[in-house]
Amino acid sequence: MRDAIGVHVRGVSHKFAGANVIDHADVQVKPGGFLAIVGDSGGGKTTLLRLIGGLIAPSSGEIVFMAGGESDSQSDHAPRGQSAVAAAQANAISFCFQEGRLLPWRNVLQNVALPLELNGVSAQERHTAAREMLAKMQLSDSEHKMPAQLSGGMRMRVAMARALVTRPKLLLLDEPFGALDEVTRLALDEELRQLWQQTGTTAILVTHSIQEAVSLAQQVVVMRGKPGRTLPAIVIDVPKDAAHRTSMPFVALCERVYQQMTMQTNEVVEVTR
Amino acid sequence: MKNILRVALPPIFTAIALLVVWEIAVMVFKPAAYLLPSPLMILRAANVDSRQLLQATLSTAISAGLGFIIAAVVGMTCASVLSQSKFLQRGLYPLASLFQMVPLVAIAPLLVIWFGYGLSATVASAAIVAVFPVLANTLDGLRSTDPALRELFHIYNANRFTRWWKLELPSATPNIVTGLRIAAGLAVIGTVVGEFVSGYAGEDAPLGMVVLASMRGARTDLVFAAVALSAAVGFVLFGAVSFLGWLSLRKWHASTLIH
Ligand SMILES: Nc1ncnc2c1ncn2[C@@H]1O[C@H](COP(=O)(O)OP(=O)(O)OP(=O)(O)O)[C@@H](O)[C@H]1O
Ligand SMILES: [Mg+2]
Repeated sequence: MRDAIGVHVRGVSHKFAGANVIDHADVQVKPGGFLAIVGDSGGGKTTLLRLIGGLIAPSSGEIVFMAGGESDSQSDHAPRGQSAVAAAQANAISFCFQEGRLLPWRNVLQNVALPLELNGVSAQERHTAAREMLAKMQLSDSEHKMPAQLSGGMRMRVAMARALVTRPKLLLLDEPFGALDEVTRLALDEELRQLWQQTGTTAILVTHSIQEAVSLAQQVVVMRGKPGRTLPAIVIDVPKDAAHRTSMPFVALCERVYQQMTMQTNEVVEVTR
Repeated sequence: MKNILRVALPPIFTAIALLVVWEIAVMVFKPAAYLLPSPLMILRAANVDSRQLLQATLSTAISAGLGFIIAAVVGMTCASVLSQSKFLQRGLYPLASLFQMVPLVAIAPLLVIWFGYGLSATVASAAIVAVFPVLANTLDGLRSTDPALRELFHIYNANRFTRWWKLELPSATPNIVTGLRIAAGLAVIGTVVGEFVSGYAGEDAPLGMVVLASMRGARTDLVFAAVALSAAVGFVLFGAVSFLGWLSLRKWHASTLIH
């Protein structure tokens, strides 16, 4: 996609009811890039994603969106809140939540069509677009099923189809496959990778799996501690094919991520200072 | 069909057994008829006065039904308005809960003063007792909408009305159905209480009046018949509401899925 948007999170801190949850987070992803965030449970990953998506405003710091590889000059000056809202309003951003979050009273097709429906797209158009997405996710046979009739993997694929149906320029994924078994997870990882390549969207993936992060992303950022801090990004420069998961460079990169994740807290403070 | 029978047969058998025991007990102990008539005596009395009893049942059913509908509409509307404003919720909801504590029997005479003798007073009485469970349950349901889904609607620029109509209301349906089921039973109770105070005698006297008049005439058999019929009105209303609730939830809600 020529107009994917990049994100630059600069020194963002966030407080919930006075308690610091995120402390000076710095994260950058270029338009069309793929960033993975891994880290401690309760370390503020979901919160960071919600900040980027404009669902909440940071207590301090700024989040800047970049279009077409260059920093968007307008949003460079505008306060972050505004640019995030503007980006969201143009339906540029899509979320894929932890556990999918489908509307249980709607069938698969109506769930996938929901984002378009909320934006006033006509029934015929939105169903065509939704069917197209469902075909991509091999869900065409299930369009009339209710969420309760789906397996966990299918439910996540529907959630992904719903997130992609608006053709977002920035896709935010919050542990999308965390609750799935390893085999389904690997299959969905591969589907996600292909969709990311086909659509050219920017993707930010929060995950607990180091392997998943390293095999999908171009950069991995580790978030540690309470309040959560970001460690310097690890650049992933191994080829993205199915066979590479056992290669030496892949294993070495996983090892580096693992080191950052298990580092003592005082060391984390050292590195992030 | 098999499932329905499995659910319906045990209570039916129990009821028949109880009636048989009752009948035998009356045959053995022979209490005065005005103290405890037997089921067959009640049936015979009801048969003799069947025209009047049917008329009374119809009239009670109409005011319970109308009261229920008013309670449903008012309760759901008020809950929807309250759910959109923390301010209104804080100001009005505690008052609504307090209002619910006022005994209906005590305000029923007021209703007669305001609405006069007849249908409007009994409908008002039914609506007043039935409205609160609808309001409380609907509000509960509307407020417990999954926050992540609210965010989803926010991301895609849904306005408040759309969010209410397409998210909050459907996700509150199970609670609404619960509220309506409670309200169905209460509407009949409210109607009969209203009839006690405001009922009108004559051709179309409702069940509450039949109870009062039969009591004065020591016609305990007719009292029993009227009580049974008002229970039947409640049962039918409750059944209808449950069925509609099941229809609207059957495709997705856990309470209706086949296990
Ligand atoms: N709305 C909120 N109000 C108050 N505190 C919150 C809120 N949301 C999150 N928190 C707190 O912020 C911290 C970070 O939460 P967050 O959900 O971002 O963590 P996470 O990294 O996504 O964790 P996990 O990996 O378990 O999903 C937690 O301590 C949590 O209790
Ligand atoms: Mg999380």
